[in-house]
Parts: sequence; structure tokens; C-alpha cells
Amino acid sequence: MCQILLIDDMKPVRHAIAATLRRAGHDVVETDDGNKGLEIASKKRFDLIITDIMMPASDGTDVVFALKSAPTGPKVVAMSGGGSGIPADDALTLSASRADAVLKKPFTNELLIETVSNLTSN
Amino acid sequence: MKRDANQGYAALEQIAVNSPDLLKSLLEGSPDTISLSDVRHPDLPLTYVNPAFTRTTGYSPDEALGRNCRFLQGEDTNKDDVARIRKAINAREPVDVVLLNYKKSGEPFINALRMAPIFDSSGQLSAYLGIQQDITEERLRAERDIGQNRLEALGTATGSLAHQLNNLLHPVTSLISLHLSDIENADVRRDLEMAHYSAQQAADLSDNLLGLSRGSFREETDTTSLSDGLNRAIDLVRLMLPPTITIETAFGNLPKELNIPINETLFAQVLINIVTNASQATKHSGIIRIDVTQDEDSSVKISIADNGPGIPAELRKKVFTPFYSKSISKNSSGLGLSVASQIINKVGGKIIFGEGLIQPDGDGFGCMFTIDVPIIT
Repeated sequence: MCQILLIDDMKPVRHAIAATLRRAGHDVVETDDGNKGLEIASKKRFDLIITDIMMPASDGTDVVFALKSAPTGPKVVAMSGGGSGIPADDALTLSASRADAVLKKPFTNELLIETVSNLTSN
Repeated sequence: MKRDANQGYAALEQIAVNSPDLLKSLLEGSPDTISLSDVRHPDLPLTYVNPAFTRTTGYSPDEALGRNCRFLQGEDTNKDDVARIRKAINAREPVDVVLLNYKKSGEPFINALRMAPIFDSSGQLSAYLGIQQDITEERLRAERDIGQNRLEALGTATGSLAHQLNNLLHPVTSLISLHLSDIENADVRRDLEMAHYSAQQAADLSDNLLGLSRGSFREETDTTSLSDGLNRAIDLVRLMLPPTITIETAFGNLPKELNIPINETLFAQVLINIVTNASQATKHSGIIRIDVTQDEDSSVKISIADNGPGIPAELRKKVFTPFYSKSISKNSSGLGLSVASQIINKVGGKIIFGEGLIQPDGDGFGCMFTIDVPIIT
């Protein structure tokens, strides 16, 4: 069982991912914004942080960079709407290069669980 | 205001008196075509044309003077445009008209014509002034830019649409599959599996949309991978045309590294123009076949053939001239093939007209347009 922080501004998406993770036995804290996520992460230890990249209030790219600039810290999964052709192309590529894994929406529950267990198995 | 005009008039008088040659040089040196018509004759014969007239139309003063300038009109000149000119002349009013005219060589050009009655100081109508400009190049460029902007906007819009769709579809597929195993009633489970399947199909469709928008349609580079460019443009044109049209393609084994020296948006514009024309020709119910052949190392031929009614031999040489298709279809800008041809010519290629697929009744052949473009080696 892992401690997972999930950051996504879209409630239905967040709900579905959280439900899948909880069903697999993980503890999930949810939030809808990058800055809130960083604040929560500074107060509590997580094994894994899953963040959406394109969010209106604060961008997920900042979350990925903030978390991955520290030498130790949680593993980070970046989720993207799969979109090239949208202005955040560069941000997606950039954060993908820093994140430990990238999930392209829509992804299957199986892929989500597999990605989580690959990153947290040791 | 009046004083200014008087001062201007005084300056003109001065020029007329002191350097009459300058007035003549103004007319002769004007980059725009200037002509004068004699109003004493009911048919308004030309009494003066400047050198730009000869440069634009190919007609020398000898060939032009004494004739009404309607000799520049031809079979595809819009009769409404001509009627507007006639009406303005009858009303002694100035008029601006853009119409299709023909050079001495027979080559059509888009003519921006301004005509104005000229009155002398006593208010007597003394001449008709005509100023003309060949705006063919400008019009084709504008048409090309519009097409390019439209494609780029479409790319951006589909990208953002697909992104939002993906976000909406994720919870549908995810939550159904999460809870499916808990459902004991087999009928309910089957229904939910159906819903799950449909949501997945929708997600695949959304992924295809993303593929279309994937960057390239707005990239500035002047190199396009032939197979990527073709596939994307054909996917797009399939979305634009009714499902009743059949588009067959036969270029599955195109090497990925085959590149052509043309911006992808412009290349897509050419293909979309030709395929859309072909679909219209078959009333959106025929077959369009797209083939790629490479007989030389330096160029590749992309042919788009349809089984529509074809074009009679005597009209074939006109298909690339501006406004030709307008005479056939009211929906057409009449510039699509001219623009396509211009885009391909610019990169050192050409578009060739030929006979297409055999018609459904077996009587004749549809059209085939072959785009012959150089490849980057």
C-alpha cells in the first residue's frame, strides 16, 4: 500500500483515478490545483505524486519541476490529455522528461495500477 | 478645403504650362493601366492607352485604339460584372469592378477595374477614364493564405477538442471497468460492457483527431514527410466529405524518410482542393483513388483519380485558370485548382491533368490530377 497524492482539476477524472487506486489498496489524497498539491506535499510524506499537466490555476509542470529538483522525494507521474497541437506542447514534453512516468489520457485502469506498482515496488 | 483644391489646381496649371511633358510622363510612366474612352461616340472607343496597358494585356495601342475595351472580355467573364459597368456608364457614375479579362495571348487575368466619367471645367462629360490593375497574383496568394489559416485553425481546434474529449472519456471507461466485476446480473454486465466499448471507440476517434492536429499543420518548416503528410491530409479530407464517397489509397509501403520540399499545410491544401473537387464531380457518391508512384529518383507522382463525368477535351486546358470551376459550381471560389497549381509550381513541381477511373456506366473516364513533386534526396 502506498501514500499517493493525486492532483487533477477535473473532478470526474480525479474521482475515477482515485477510485481505481483505492480499489488497488492505496491511500489517496486528492486536490484540484498544483499549488495546493505542493503545499500538501510539503507537510506530509508521499510515495508517489500523480499530477495532471494542464490545469487552469497552476500548471502541473511547476509541480513536476518543484518535486524533481530535490534529490530525494516522491516519485512523480505526469498525466497529459494526450495533446499535441495545443499550446502546452513544450510543457508536456518538458515535464515528461523530468517525471518518472507519463500517462496519456485516456489510459486504462490496468495501466495506471501497473505504472504505480512499477514505480513503488522497491 | 476649397482653397486647397484651388491651390492644387493652380499647381496643375503650372505644370501644364511650364512642363507639359511631365503630365504626359505621368500617364506613360504609371504602373497602373490607364485608358481613356471617347464619349462622343456611343460605343466609347478607346482614344488612349498607356504603356502599362500593353504590358498587362499584350495589346499594342494600334490594336486597342478605336475599339471598345470589351475586347478584353472572354467566355468566362461574369456577365453581371459587365452589366454593372454598363449601368454605371449609363448613369455617368464611377464604378469599381473586379472581373475576369483575357490577355492577347488568351491567358485570363483578374482585373481590378475602376472607371470614372471625367467632366471638364464647364461640367461637360469629356472622357471616360479607366484604371486597371492585374490582381491575379494577389488573389491567388490571398486564397492560399485563407486555406492555410483555415487548416491551421482546424488543427488547433481539433487538438483542443480531442484533449477535452479525452478528459471526459477517461472517467467513463475507467469507472465502468472498475465496477464491472462487481455486477452479478449478467444482462446488466453485458450492457455496461457495451457502454464501455463505445466509450473506448470514442476515445480512439479522439486519438485520431489528435493525430490530425499533431503539430505539423502549423509548423513553419518547408519539408514534409510524404507518407505522414498524405495520411494526415487524407484523414482530414475524409472527415470533411460525406461518408458516401469512397476514397481508396494505395501507398501503404511508402518509405517514411521520403520527404518533399513543401510546407505540410500547403501540401494538405493542394490535396484537399483536388480531392474535394473530385468528390464534388462524382456528386459525393463515386470513387476516388489516390496512388503514389516513383519512377525517378528525383521526383514522385501523387495521382488523384475519380470516376465522375470527366472534363471534355476542349475544356481541359482551362481547368487551372482562375474562375473556371466557378462557372460550374456556385459553391466554388473558382480559385482552388489555380492555387494548388501555383503552390506546386513554386516548389518546382507541376500538376498534370489526365484521364481518371472508368465511369460507373463504362462509357468514359473521370478526371485524374497528378501532382509531380521533387523529392529531397
